[in-house]
Amino acid sequence: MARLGMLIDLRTCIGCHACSVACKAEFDVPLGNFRDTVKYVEEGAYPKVTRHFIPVLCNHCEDAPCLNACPTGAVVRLDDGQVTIEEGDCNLNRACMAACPYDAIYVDEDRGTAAKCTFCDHRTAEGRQPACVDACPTNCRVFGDLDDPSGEIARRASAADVTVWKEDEGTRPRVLYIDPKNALPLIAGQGVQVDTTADLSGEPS
Amino acid sequence: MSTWTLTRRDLLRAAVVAGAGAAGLGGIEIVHQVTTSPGLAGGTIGAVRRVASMCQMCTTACGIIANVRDGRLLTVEGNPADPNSQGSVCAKGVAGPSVLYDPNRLLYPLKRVGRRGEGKWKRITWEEAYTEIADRLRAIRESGRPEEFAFQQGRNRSTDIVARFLDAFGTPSAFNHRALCSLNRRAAILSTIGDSDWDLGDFENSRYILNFGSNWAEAHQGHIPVAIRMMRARERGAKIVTFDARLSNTAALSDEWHPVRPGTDGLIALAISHVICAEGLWDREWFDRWTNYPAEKYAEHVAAYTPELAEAESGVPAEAIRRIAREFAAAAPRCTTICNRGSAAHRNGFHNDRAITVLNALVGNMGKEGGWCWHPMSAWDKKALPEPGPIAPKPTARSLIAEAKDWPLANAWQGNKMRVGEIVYLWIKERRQQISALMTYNCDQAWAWPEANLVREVLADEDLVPFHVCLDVMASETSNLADIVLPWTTYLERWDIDSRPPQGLVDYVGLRQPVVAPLGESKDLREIFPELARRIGGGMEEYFPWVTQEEYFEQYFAPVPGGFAHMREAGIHVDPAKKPNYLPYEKELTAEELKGTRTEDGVIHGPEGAIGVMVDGVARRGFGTPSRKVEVHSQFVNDRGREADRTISPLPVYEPIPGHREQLAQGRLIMISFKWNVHNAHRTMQSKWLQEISHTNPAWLNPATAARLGLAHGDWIEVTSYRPIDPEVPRGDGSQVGSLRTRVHLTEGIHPQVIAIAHNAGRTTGGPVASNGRDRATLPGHDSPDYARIWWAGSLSVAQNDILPIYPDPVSGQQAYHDTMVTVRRIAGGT
Repeated sequence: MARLGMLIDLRTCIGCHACSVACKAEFDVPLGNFRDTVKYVEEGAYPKVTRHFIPVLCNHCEDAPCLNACPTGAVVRLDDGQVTIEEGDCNLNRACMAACPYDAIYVDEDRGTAAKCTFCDHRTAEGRQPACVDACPTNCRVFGDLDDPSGEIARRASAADVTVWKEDEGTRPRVLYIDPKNALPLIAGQGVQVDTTADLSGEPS
Repeated sequence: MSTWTLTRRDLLRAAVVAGAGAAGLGGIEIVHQVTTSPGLAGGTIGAVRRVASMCQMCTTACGIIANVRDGRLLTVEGNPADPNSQGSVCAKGVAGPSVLYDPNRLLYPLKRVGRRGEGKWKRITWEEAYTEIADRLRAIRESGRPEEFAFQQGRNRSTDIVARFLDAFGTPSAFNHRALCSLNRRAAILSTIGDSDWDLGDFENSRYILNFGSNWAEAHQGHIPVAIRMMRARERGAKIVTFDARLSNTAALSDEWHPVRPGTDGLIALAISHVICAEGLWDREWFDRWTNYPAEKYAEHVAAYTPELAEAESGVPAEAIRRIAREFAAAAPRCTTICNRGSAAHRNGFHNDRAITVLNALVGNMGKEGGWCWHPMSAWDKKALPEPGPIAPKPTARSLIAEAKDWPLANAWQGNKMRVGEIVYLWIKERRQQISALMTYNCDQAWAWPEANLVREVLADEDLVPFHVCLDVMASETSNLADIVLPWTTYLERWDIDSRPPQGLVDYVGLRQPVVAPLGESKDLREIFPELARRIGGGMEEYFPWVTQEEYFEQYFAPVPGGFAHMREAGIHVDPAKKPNYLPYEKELTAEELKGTRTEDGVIHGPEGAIGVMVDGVARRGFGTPSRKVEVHSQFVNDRGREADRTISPLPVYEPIPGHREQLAQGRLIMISFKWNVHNAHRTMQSKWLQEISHTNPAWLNPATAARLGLAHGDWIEVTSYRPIDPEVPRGDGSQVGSLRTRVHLTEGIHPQVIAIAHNAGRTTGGPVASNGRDRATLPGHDSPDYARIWWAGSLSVAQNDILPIYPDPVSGQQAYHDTMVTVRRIAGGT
């Protein structure tokens, strides 16, 4: 059995959102719901200011609060460690959503189930990469077996300092980041879901 | 853990496997074998066909593979065979299905039944559409004034068929958007090196990249092909320094961002040149050998452009300019500049880009590995792959608008159609050229053009434009002002031969092919034009002898090994014998080439013009300029200017934007526009997935500026724009152009004298996705469950182009997008 994980190298993410859209296309994720997106965060004061690009998705935690919280057994861990939701077993009690510190789970109204990133287990079972990894133009995302020392993910993870999003939550994420500019703490208060109320209204008040 | 033995997901997986030719779960291993080369195009995975084609969500035209099942496009990925994009795509490319299946697509020909612009349509047949259009065009052609048929294109990746139809018709009134895009940069590069109008820095092998206002991470014409090479260079330790008025994503990805006052990029380049000359950091030998101007004299020329002067004008500290100059020169020849609209789309943009280009000559990096490079072909090798005949002769009729002779560099180079797009509708309004029929193709000039309200006024006027046909994928501000609207196929349903300037410095050719059958009754130009030609008659039809489009492309691709069939499978062809275009100027001319030539002042002339230059006693190819050297001093541009009564300095100079200093002192701001990475033109705003990411455009203001104006984040403001105070610009009287109402977005990532507004917003038509819910008209059969989920309905979305003055650079005609002066005042609640 593999210990599947993802490494995201923030040094080469260009914030292009190819991953976000590839995920939408792969799963036809309803508008307003997100399995994967890229957070933009500005830091600094003029003229010493920059913008960070941070791709986010379900962390497929080793100690997954969603899995522990689900009363119906719909949230499961697959053999290679992916945390997924069995649609037929979900009764929309939303316990998983409340438990997830990453706001990675949403309700798919059409299918009547909680839903989230699956690490594209339907693709990886065919030997393909997850859609977001495949779409990334700069190869800033690597997917694979964290326990295989000869694999690219383990090699790249061991060649740099890696960290995780919201380490304090103690969930032991399997999504690792190379984050030399220390950007992840800037989104400690955010989740995968996009704040759809944040836009300025165009309607005169 | 679940006790289920076979979940729904397992069943799904089993179904996929069964489709691959194996039965049951045991087939998984077989699928692994099928996908040992998962990136390749052609063939199938299970029931999924993998069709190679080319993207056209933007102008970069990356190779793609479309995954299609049962005639439906599922997903789009990159084609690794494309030497430019190397299998990469961006968000726009991946969003292909959302544009193909956009519920607001036009699928049937429409004819207006109310007043023009009233929005009342009836569905007509193609037969009816063809008949009416052909009758109109035939009458124009037979009148002997074919120039009265005008063709307005936006992005055109079907140049062969468009030129063929217009030439066969005999009209020279082919209006493109070059001056709204890249004219100054192209003119600067062409006048300096002659070989090409497009620089292709060898970023991947570079150690130091100086970026003057190019936003390659989001919007550059080489977008992803450039971005992947920049990131690789960075991983190897290259340094990227960006000058930009705004913290673009590119600026954020750079090692250093230096905010600049718009229109001062050229001065910074001249100041860097000053330091390089003054401190002897130049490659003087290369400069003296390969340019037409002595290094000593250029040093004298740039002596006045001190870092202190550049600091005063641009805001970039003199010490930073000195340090950057030293670092850049120290990395030579593995260093290069890149520039684009940030430096070029200005009233002084031609000289800005000349100054930047010559900076490369100063450090001797031109044509070298890791340096500032180019390729003589901006598309495929047209000698190896000539257009199938018969070719129509070029029109003999004249078009005042297309020639745009007020701007001496606009059409100064043969075969390089650089139209002054922004003046087209002004000149139609002024009746400088009679237009009897207009065909708009893949263009939303009524939304995208400067002073778009003037465009709308002209298009609504049936005296000025008696007949208007619009061909587009979806309803637009422009199609709303047409008499007949034709439903165009998306790039996923049509054919093209295509390729882009090769970032890897080896040319290639690609095929765009239908990945699914056209939806509804949509058709491409390649079907429409031959049919119209047959109906117009008068000999036009002779230029369209093929019966099917496949037949035409079979002929076109015949010279490729494996021909058309290979192209359909692979999508891309690269000649393996070709080498990267390094040091092309050093190539020695052969005895054969030198036969029958004469040498005058060192320049070797053949029967068809200059072919080389004597350098230290050796006959070499040199550069494609009149002097066969890098023309630091361009007599050509100076002469062209004189013909049009304009003074164009033969040397790169800094000309401050007229009126900026005075108006900035009065507290006015410079308004710039920009593009987000997920958007391109009006078309991308049709994509629900792209709009979901970027759909609003509040005005960016620096907090210091906001404090001065008494503004807070989210405040409503009125932005009022003014024409330039500039006798060399049409209507350059400083008068008010217009106002827009928007809201403030505070950011540290912008120069305090600047207000920035993203251009990809402000649509009022095209459906609720594109218009943030403003247009809720649904077309028959087009209900979508997503409509209720457009959570950005009502979000701020403002059309900036309405208040951008028509502002051509007097030298070239390039629209000065980033020089508009505005006043900003707080208004209560948006009313």
